[in-house]
Amino acid sequence: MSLIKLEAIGKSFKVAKRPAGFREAVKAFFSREHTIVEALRDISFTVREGEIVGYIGPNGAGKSTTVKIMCGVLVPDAGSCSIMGYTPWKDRVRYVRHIGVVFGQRSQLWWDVPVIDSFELLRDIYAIPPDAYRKNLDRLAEWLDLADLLRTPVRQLSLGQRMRCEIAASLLHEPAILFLDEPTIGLDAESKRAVRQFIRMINRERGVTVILTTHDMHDIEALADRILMIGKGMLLYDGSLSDLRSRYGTRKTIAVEYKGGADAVPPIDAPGVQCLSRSPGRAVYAFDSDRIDITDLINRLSAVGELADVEIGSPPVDELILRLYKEHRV
Amino acid sequence: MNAPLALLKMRFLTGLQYRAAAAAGVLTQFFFGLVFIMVYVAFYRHAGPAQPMTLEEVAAYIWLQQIFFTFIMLWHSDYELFDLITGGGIAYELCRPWRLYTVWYVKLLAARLSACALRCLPIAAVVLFLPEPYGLSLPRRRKRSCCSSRRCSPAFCSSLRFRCSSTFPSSGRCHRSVRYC
Repeated sequence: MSLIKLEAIGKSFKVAKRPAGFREAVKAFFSREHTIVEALRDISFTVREGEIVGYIGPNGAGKSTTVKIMCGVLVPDAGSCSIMGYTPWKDRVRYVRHIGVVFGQRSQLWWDVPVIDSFELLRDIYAIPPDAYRKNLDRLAEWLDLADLLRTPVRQLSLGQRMRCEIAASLLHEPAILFLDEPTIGLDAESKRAVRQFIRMINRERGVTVILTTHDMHDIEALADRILMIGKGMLLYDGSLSDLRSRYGTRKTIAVEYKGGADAVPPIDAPGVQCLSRSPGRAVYAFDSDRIDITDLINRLSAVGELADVEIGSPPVDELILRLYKEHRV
Repeated sequence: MNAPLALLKMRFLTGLQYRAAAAAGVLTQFFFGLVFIMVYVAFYRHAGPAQPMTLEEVAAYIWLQQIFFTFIMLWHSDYELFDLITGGGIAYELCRPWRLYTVWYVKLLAARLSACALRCLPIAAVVLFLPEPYGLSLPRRRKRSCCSSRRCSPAFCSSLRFRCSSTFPSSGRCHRSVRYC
């Protein structure tokens, strides 16, 4: 049974526009031109309980708008949305008890005081029973390694430390759904890994359904069972990453190194093979595995010199996504 | 603890976080209190014997004004709320199980209450022991203290004087009541 169900959601914003200059500013004071920006057009999807869904798309595609509609923050112009039986913007107060939200570019923690004070405020806001709060806090502190951070004022935390605290803050009341809007933005590699591991674990241990928007395709690769891609306000792709790979991932790369490599190796000429770089003793080719068999390609490569090393790589997810964007012209 | 009380507590904790700012707030009230009283001391030294309030009462009025300053500064706005709206932080406010109006009302109240709580005790503790005529004196007699709100406020007196003279310009009774005030 689906936990989240969106049907034909539409949302547009009215944007005021005027040319530069004092005269135009005075003119616009009395009569203003507006354009209507359609942020979302006919968005429909369902999410099952316990899924991790990666919601991706270029800047301005409508990802955050969708998340805000699902959180009850924005009211759509058209369509219906049912999450756990609630309409988010109509039953906001009752509904938000069941969700946790992290907006990566904003903070829900009080800037001036130690993290633990913000956690206690959230405990009182959500009326979490003391035992449950202590148990949750201990567990989250252990999983996210917060023990040393809890007594530090938020303003003195690094971005990675703050994000770990933000995620803990959104899970104190044991929500059934976690909305993460760019949770890894600006984080270093280690913090990103910690955040990803934690999201995966919270999904596995507590069965929390996760909706994740991100521009980092490694997040998607590490976490998302399913991808929803949005562009120009429309839903363009709904499926798994492996489906995406099998659809676009036939183009692979092969890097070969030759023994005694000071001499330049001659390029090979085969259908569907393109030379990306060539230096003495080393060459990198891109090839389409639908058009040429890998064994055949390796045979051809070994014919021009004695091979020392061969490395076959799949295209990175970024490339697949870019190709998807290109196909849909977003 | 319920949410409004928790917000009040958080405001208070925020106020306590910056010791220098809290001390500066207290010192500012001291400075203004003392300067105002000095001005009144100069006025009273050269004034006639019949004054609507004694200098002691004026000093008490000024100190009460300084102690409860955060209650009477009507121009004060909570810039945090403006930042929430312009910066988009309001999204988090709407993701909490509360009514926005109630919460913002409580936040504004909490800002004033916590600021006052931080200032009133240290100021009161010092000004109660300042020498005359600069100190805060306690009401002497019960009867007088009953109408102390009238007696203590120069603003009230002047507004009454204005109202009486404009409404009953030739009324001797009114002049008597003003003199009593």
